[in-house]
Amino acid sequence: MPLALVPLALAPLHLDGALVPLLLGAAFGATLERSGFGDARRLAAQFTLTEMRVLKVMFTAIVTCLLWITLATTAGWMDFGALAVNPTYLGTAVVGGLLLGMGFVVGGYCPGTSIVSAATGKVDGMFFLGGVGAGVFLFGEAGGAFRTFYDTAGALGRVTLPDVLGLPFGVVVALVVLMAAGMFAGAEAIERRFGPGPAPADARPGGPRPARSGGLARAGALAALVAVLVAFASPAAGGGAVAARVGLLRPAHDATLASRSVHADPVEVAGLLHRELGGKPARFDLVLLDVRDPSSWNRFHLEDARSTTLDRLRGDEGRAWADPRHATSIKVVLGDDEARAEEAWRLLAAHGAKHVYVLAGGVNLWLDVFRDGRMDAAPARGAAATDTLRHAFPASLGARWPFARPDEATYRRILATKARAFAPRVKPVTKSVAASGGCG
Amino acid sequence: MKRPGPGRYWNPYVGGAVLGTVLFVSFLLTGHGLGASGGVARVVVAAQKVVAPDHVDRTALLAELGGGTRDPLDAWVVVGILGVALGGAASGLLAGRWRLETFRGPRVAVRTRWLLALAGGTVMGFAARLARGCTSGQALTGGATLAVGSWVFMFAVFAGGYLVAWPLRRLWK
Repeated sequence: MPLALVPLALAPLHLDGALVPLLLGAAFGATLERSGFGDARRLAAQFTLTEMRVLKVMFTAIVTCLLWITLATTAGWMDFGALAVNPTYLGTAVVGGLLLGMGFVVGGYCPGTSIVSAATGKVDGMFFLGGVGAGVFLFGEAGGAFRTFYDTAGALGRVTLPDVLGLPFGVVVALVVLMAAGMFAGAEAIERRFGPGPAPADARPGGPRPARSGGLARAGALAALVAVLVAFASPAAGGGAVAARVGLLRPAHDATLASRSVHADPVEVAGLLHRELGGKPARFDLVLLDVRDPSSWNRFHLEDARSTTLDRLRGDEGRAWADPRHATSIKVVLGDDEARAEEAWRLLAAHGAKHVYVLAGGVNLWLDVFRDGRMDAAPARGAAATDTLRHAFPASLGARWPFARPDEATYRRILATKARAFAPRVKPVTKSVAASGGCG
Repeated sequence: MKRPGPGRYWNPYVGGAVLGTVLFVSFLLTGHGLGASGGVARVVVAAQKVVAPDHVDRTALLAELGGGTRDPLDAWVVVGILGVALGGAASGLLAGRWRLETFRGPRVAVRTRWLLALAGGTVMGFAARLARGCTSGQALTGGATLAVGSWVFMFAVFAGGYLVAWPLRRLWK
């Protein structure tokens, strides 16, 4: 594999030991505290309209994170598809949300902010946190009664606003930025109308923001404008990460493919079918990914090959082959010639898949060797490489042709043929550590 | 008693920008966002498991978190809320805001406020489990990944709050 891939590990990194969540939690708690979220009066003021702090912090945070994600996926160093996106359950979102909003006004906190409040000595925060414990206890005991509603009401799975609106991710981000800017303007107007300055009687000296925010508002408006333009012009944002990475890695991939260090000769691949690696018996998982069109596939394909498409390799399937579970399998991509297979190779490499090879000369060369017995056949080059099946078949028998898996005697005979000498490309798979499983 | 005056809070837009960046770093490093109520739920199930392990095994909503050999505390969100408490406490101490006191509206007695906090917390704990997350894990985290359910949830939270805000305005004004 090209070395260039190593420093370009695709985020997220799935660091879930004890330390990373602890530090992230601490940063989260400190930020909530600094934002005034340890004080019930400042939170409840959102609903009595005297201070719009909750809305401002919340939507600034969402917009900021969205813009970071836009940037990271556009640049190709984060894969949006691999992020945990909360599955949608419309029924519980509405009912739970309404109840939660009511609890907010009664109690003055939400679970996260009550932890901060309790941890800074606020007795009301401690009572609230105790209440949260009681509430989750009640749900655990009684929630089973409306289990069907909980599981099925408006259950849509992993679905995002770009999915339902049918708009590109970047455009939705731009719309969210604009909406937030409008809400902030409204929030400032509401505070001017209803906010008596330092609302709670024993508020800290200095008061909330005095009327010095004109410059900040202008800067914010300018930033929002820039953000909208950036997000709007990011076709690769949100899930397009792999396309961007293919582009980013193109020079490195070009060099690797030109060196033909990942192009495995048909005889070497036949050896893999007989579980031989480097002329010796070996144990490994073999995955043959056939990216040819269905008509080629139906006429002939290798035994145990899987039919797939470049689109699928660009999305979920490519991501799956890059999963640590498949880190030790040998993957060979097959085309009629090499062009489409090399494109598939680029996609899998961009996803971070390991041990990926291209069948040299594609299925055409395979057939030259194993069907026609042309030992000196070479991969088609230039204008001759049309990436279509050049061999004629009287019937569409798929993998039922004998040369879909040359028998061992044939393989040994051809392996010993001088005219078919080849440089072995497939490297042994080192025993890798099992991926740490079990989340949640 | 004389004590140093507490420092001022951050400008909310600055706080939001920092919070959004922390959230993004969480996605970058772990692949998921932040959470709070899930951690409390797991701590409660862990306590139930000590008292009545059979009951936890037989109750579906509890068994999902701590049934059988499952350790309810073995989850990032549990470590996360410990971090929230530590980070919040450190920040409050440094800003001179760590003090045993009760925040309440001007017309509400201290004990009444405690009872209201307990009641509000109970409603919210129940609602957060129902909605599979609270303002942190559902509204903020899901909102920042454009999850449809999270946006619906977020607007439902504001709607629920404003629905009762007028009749309950004397709690805070």
